[in-house]
Amino acid sequence: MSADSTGAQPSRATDTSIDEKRRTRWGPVFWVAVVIVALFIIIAITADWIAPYDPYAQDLVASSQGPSAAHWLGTDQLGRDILSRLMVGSRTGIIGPAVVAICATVIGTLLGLWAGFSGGIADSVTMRSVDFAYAIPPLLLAIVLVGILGGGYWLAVAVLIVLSAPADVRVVRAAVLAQREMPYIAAARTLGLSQMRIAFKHILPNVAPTLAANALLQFVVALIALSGLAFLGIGVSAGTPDWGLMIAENRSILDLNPWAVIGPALCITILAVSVGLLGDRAFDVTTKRINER
Amino acid sequence: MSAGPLLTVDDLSISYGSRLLVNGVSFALDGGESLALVGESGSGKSLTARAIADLLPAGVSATGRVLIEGAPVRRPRRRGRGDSPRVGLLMQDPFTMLNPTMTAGGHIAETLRAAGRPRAEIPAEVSRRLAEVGITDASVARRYPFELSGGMSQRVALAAALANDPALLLADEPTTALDATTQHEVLELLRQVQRDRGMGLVFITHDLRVAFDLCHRVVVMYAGSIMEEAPARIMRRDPLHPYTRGLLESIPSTDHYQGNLRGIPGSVPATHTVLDRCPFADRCDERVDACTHVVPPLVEVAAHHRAACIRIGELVSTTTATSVGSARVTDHVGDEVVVRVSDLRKSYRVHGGVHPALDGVTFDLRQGEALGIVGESGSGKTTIARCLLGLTSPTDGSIEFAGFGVVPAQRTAQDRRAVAQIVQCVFQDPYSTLNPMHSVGTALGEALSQRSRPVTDRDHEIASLLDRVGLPASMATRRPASLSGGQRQRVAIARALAVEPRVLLCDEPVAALDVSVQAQILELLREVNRSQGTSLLFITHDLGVVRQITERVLVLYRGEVVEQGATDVVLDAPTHDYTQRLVAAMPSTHVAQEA
Repeated sequence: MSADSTGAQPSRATDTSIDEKRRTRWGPVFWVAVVIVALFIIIAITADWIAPYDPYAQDLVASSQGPSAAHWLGTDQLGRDILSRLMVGSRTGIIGPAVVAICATVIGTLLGLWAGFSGGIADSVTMRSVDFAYAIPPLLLAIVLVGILGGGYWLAVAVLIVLSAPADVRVVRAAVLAQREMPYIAAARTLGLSQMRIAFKHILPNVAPTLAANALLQFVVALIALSGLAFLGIGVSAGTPDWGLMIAENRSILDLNPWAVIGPALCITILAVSVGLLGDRAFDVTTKRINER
Repeated sequence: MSAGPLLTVDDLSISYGSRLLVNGVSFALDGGESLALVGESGSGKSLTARAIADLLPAGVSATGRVLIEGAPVRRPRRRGRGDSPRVGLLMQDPFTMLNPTMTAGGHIAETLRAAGRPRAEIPAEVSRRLAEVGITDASVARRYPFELSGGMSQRVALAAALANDPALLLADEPTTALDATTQHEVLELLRQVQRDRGMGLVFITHDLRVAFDLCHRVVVMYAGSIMEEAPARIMRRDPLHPYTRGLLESIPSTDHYQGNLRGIPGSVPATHTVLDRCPFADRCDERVDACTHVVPPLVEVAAHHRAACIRIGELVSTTTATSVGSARVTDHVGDEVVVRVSDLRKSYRVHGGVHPALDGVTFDLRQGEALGIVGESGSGKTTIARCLLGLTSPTDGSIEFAGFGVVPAQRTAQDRRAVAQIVQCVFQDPYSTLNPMHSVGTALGEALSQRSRPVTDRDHEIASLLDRVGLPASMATRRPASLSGGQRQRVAIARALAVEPRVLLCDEPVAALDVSVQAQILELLREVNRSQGTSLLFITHDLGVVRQITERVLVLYRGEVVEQGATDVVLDAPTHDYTQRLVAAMPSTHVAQEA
């Protein structure tokens, strides 16, 4: 008979198997990423107090030095402390991409809801504009625009917002179109609920995990784009402690103090990978949990 | 029994990780014999069939023995060419079972080639095989699955499953997705093919009536265990296990009106939670203390008749008597017309042409009346519902609600709100009828806010709504994903009732539920209809449901009402050709009556 099975204790109805449970748990990698991102944010906020030197203070006597007890990561050509500049540089590294991610998500969501719900001409115009925006190479446009307008960091951020939002428009509009056909949306319409309420209370929560994951991904893309622009000398003004700019400025002393280049490169990579991981896990776990609770 | 049984399943257990899903199932099948595996969702019937074909999903493992013609089964991909497989498989959804990029003939030819047939013979053999499943139109072989109807696809799938001349055919709910009349044809075909070929057939179904009609023997499964096994003739006449009896009593009768619909309370437990007891004990009327701590053995109670119940000896004498022909209660029906639909038309533009989904439908619904709309898929019954609810606008014709007047074709926000207070809907699929992000309380609270009468004590009203549909007040904090199908459908009914509508539109509200739960929901709807005088507009394909719920019925065929009248009259003496076919196609339910 079932001799082999009766040995197992009939456990209380746990409907998730070990496999699925692993997917619904955040897991250690997620927490490592959380700690890293949190550290970057804390450093960005407190940089003025915890940075060992003034990031702008030049000391031509001690220029292009390798790591030492006084300067843990050495100095650049003008003798500025690399560690201090990295710490202060985390501000432009976080704020710009965060603004891009948040603004793009909000604008994209509103446009997507509007296009999906009104349909017809409004939908066509919005979606063709989105297609148009997709066809533009973002970095190239940013270089040209910022070059012509002569603007700095915030103009670059604005350009990236405009170019990131279409992705959200697509995601939200597709969700609206798919969800409109769901019986629970039909039920909400049958209840006579307003379009606004259906859009914000019924449809939006169901796409929230996707939007959150998308926003984190946009953060990563914006971080790399802004760093790339800074490297090319577009965006932040010369001399500003910014990771992208630091790589550009310190290229020439790679042999004297490699940390002046490796440091900012590592910062960009670690932050980008950590935020990317957050987005990935957040999406997996939240969608799983919604479907199981 | 000369060369031993065709199929032997011996102590088969199936588990996923540490969770047991099927618990020590044993049965045997002789060549030329047909066996039905009957059970509700979670009974393990489909997994058992998959284990026989050695096609268990990844991560699911089986112990025990499965022998076909005395040899253990092997996975198809481990077989060598020319080593003819002995099992054919037919599945529920004909559209996903056929490869959309292959023609109908291609499916059959592929298997024939694999079986080593000479290339030259194949075209003739393909048409011979299609003729066997009743397809004589030679052009079908060249068509792709999307060009075939559901019934036709299932015939092609059957021909493909038979192409390698299996000794055993496994059919997993092959007719569930089909319309009643088509289902009937496919079942007849299956019976005929099985008899002509002298092939073994394992037929998986949730419908005992179909099992009795089609198969020689019936195995009833519940929560991963066999409850009862008997020849179909005997089980139809004299079911022994309380579960089998409950299941039979749960089926709404097509033949007569039942005063009281008896469902089985509760729902199917997970197999691994009931390993030390009778799995059915919690829902059983005949339960004694011992049932909850003894595993009932499957014992032979009569020749070829096995049942797993420790009280089987005492229960044998008490034969079930289903309530026969109760009188209908109709005093809740008033005179006021609450919905008047006149000459309703709706057409869709398809491939440049115009396809009429509704072609001049006219009917009245009176206060407190329960009106049924029956028809096959594509007959336009759901289109009527969507027009009434304002989810789509009719091409022509008018809809008039009592106290509102004629609804304009394009509804404004105010129109929607006003209509919402008159008509509410219970939808078919319990798994998507509730927003997964909203708790039960949120969903009901939102519905209450749409009611014309002001809400004084929200929490109290939510609790009384839940109580109204037979759910505990504590359910308010739960999310839909943690509820069973039946519970979700109850919440959906509570949500509709929250607005206190005059009309409750039900679009196949029980079609996706297990048989034992169906009766509970039907009884609830019947009670809502009677005690509150809420009119029901009941859309269904199931004549049994129509018989039990409605007083009057419209038969819809290709967008037109072809017959209407009092339910009992229409079902007992159908006049239109389509209605006659529909009534004839229903599996008979006069089960326990003859006893």
